[in-house]
Amino acid sequence: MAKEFADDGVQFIFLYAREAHPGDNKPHHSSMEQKLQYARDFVEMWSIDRPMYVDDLDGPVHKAYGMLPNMTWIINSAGQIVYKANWTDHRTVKMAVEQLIAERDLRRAKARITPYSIEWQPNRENPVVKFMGGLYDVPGERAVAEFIAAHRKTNGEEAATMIQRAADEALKLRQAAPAGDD
Amino acid sequence: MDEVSAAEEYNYRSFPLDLDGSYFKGFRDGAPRPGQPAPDGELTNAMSGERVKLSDLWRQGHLVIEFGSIT
Repeated sequence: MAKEFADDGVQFIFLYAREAHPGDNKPHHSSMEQKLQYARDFVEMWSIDRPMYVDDLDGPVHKAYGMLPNMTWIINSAGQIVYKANWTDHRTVKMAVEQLIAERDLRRAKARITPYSIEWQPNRENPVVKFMGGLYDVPGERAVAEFIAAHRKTNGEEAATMIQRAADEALKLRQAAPAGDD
Repeated sequence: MDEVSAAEEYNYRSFPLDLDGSYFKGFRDGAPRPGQPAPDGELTNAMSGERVKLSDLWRQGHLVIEFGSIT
């Protein structure tokens, strides 16, 4: 998407924050050097070609923008927030960027424009087996156990059982094909 | 809170047990709304080490920021 909109002057960056699910194989940040190294590891793991940034060790920018783990925000060139989402979904990000470009064309055509606002609750795919498999593969078993315990405490036994089943299925897939291909 | 303990609290060692009280369900209080000014702040480019201000970036054009982590 970054390439698609580069000619329109829209910049896409990644802000690597803090480890949401630290574990024995991928511990929490304890120094700036480690945070920068994890950010570079992330670039490699996911072939990120957008510029990769980090804020300071105590996350001041992450905190100022609401501190959720997988947000996307869009800021216009006047420094005004135009979009915030508590989860990154490429489909709605693309819609928002296309809207910004359409607005630029209206400005160029000297149209009178006026702001309005939308509240919206779209749905996203939540591939929980794949997610739990990722927790086994990267931070490790402790992160899986902590995630299930948090769901039990916050959302109840039924939610915890659903997550536990997904974790079991992910583990079974890994035993069948150790490459970890879901 | 001093700088060290702020960083330790932010970079928790274990996933929070209580998701309701730990900013996993919604934006932290004080996060801006659309139409409001974007908070500025300093970032470090992870590849080059260069320090930039968010405002220097958005002045060059609309800015899409994805937040995330490895885990």
